Amino acid sequence: MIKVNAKAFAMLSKYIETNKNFEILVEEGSTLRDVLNKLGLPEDEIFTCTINGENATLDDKVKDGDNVGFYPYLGGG
Amino acid sequence: MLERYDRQIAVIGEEAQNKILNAKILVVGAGALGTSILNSLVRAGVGFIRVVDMDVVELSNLQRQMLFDEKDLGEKKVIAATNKLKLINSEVNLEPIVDRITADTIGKYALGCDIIIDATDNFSTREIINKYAIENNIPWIYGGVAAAFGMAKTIIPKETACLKCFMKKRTNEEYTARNSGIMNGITAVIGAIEANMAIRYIIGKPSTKLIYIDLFEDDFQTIEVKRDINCTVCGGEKVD
Ligand SMILES: [Zn+2]
Repeated sequence: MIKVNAKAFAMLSKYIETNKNFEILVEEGSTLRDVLNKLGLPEDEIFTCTINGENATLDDKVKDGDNVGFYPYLGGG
Repeated sequence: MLERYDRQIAVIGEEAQNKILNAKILVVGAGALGTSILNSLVRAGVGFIRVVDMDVVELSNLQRQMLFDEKDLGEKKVIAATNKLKLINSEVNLEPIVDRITADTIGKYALGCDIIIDATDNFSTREIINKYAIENNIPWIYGGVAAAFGMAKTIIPKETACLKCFMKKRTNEEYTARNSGIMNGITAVIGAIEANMAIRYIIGKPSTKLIYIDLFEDDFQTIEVKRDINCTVCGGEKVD
C-alpha cells in the first residue's frame, strides 16, 4: 500500500468529515480515480483535480507521498 | 490627464497605462463578479468596456453587487452599473447591452474586443465563451464563485490551457449563489482578481495559474494547469 495526502476542496468536503489534508492508503499503481472512489466523492461533481499542485486526469497514477486535490464546479457569478 | 492614474503608473509605468487606456474589453455579466470587475476596470482607465446582461436589480443583489443601491431596484443592471461607472470615471467609453450571451450573439458582442471577462453564473455560457475565444483567438478570463469559495484563470488560446483542458466532463452539478449562497468577500475578491488578470494580459504580464480561494479556511491555492493535447476545443496541435 502507498500513502497519499488527499484534500477535497469547497463543497466536496461535505462528502468526508473534514476538508483538511488527511492521509489515505491505496494500493500501489492506483489512479486518482481510485483515490476519489475510496474517499466516496462523486465523480460528476469534480471540476478539476490535482497531483502535487498540477492539474491531472482521474486516470493518472498516484505515488507514495503525493498530495492530491479535488475541486468542485464553482458556477456562480 | 494621467494624474488620475498616478499611483497605478508608479507600479506599471506610463507605457503600460497607455495600453490600458487603449484596451477594449467585453464583460459578460453584471452581477456580483461583473460589478466588482467593472469597478476595477473603470478605475484603472480601460478605454472601452462593453457589458452584457439581461437582468434587473433586485433587493437580494444589494448584499454583494457593489455598483447598485436602493434606487436602482427594478432597473436593468447594465444601465444602473453604467450610470454609476460614469460618475467614477467619465473618460471610459461604456457600452451597456441588454441581452444574453449565446453561441449566436457572442460574435457581435466580442467583435473588436482584446479580451473577454467571464462574470456569468453558469458553465453553459462559459463553454460558449471558451469555444468562441479559442476559435477566434481572443483571450478570456474565467471566474466562478459559490458560498465562500472562488476560482479564476487567464485563458490564452493555444498558449495556456483552455477551460476544457482542465474541466472534467460537464454535468449539472454546479454550485452557485442560488443553491449554495454567497459571501460578498469572495465575489469582490474574485472579481478584482479577474480584472487584475485582464490588466496583466493587456500590459504584457499575463497570469498563468489557476487560482483557488477559500475565505472561510484561509486557503489560497495556485494550480499549474497544462494544456491537454487531446482537448476537444483547443487540442489537435503540438503542445510545447
Ligand atoms: Zn483546451
